[in-house]
Amino acid sequence: MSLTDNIQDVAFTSEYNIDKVVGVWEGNFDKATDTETRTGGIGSIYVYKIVHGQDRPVFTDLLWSEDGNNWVDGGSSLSGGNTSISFSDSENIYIVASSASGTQWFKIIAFWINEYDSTNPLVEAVTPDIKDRLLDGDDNYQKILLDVSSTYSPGTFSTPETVSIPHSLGYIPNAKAYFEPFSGEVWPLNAGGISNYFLYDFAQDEAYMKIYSDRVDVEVNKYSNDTRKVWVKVYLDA
Amino acid sequence: MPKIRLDQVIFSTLHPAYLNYRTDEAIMEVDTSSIPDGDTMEQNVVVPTPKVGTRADIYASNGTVSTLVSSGGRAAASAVYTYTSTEVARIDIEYGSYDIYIYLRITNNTGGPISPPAQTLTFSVVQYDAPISTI
Repeated sequence: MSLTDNIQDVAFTSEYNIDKVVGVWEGNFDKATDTETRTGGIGSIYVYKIVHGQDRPVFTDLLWSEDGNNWVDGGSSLSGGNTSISFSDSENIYIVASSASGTQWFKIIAFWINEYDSTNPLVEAVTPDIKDRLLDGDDNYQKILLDVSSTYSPGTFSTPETVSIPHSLGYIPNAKAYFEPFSGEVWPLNAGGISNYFLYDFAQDEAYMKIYSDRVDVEVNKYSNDTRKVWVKVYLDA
Repeated sequence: MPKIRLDQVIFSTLHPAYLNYRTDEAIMEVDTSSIPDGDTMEQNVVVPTPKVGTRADIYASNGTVSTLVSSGGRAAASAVYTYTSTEVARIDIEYGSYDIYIYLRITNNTGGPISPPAQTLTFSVVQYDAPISTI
């Protein structure tokens, strides 16, 4: 019997993809002088830009801090109430700062979006020194079962829509989702209406996620009145 | 330098992938004590991590609902926290040296005191070694 018939015993297998990291950035910025202000009908956010070097958006994963010591997740807040999130478009990664004063530290990891569109552009391959390319087998790699995109229809005034992605696992899996609250921008899920700091424009969609043993539901609250996309990754529990 | 299509490779050839994924669980019994109007109640659970610099994706469930936490504090809470009224709930993730702290923060903006309903939040903490330096 092949090891791939017992996927839980395999740290890495070529049968399933894993998340592909295309860039890592660490640093800090002055929120007063290094950010741009985006103003919408609801309010303003302050964004710091990083050129990511790909020609289409990337998924982003953010850790951030206000002192370089205490780190929180993107979307999470510090006890003082400030918060931050990251998103991308075809040129830049944007880090949203929740105030326009002080210093913010960041660690950004960017992932390739397989299902962004049908172009699948060529990227520069890298040939590292073989001694730097370790396959650490302490535990598993998280393997991707489904890597799909879908769309939701136009709607306004917080019209709800559920984008449901079925799977056949029979248990509640790990899953991630991103969506397109503005055309051409890929954001992590965020929602909460008037209590959502990242909601700054009346044409900005919101979304959150529910995971079931037979499907993943991305619950969208629509404001944009435009057809937009969601991306969902479902992982094997193995 | 050769060029490749990243949708056709398993590993990223640009950076190391997340590796050593493991799952831990933490349970939070939501504090039902009265919260005065205008106050914020905060409680947390702690999940130890084996290494400094661990990255985590955290899922929460309350009964049949399960959702991703790490992508938005308010979004995460709205899917798993059972509200009393119109209070604002958040779930926030903080990284210590060898611990991950999961905070539930409830801000009472209802105009009167509230007592959160008794409920149990179960957190599934998926940890990785990530290509970032030591936190």
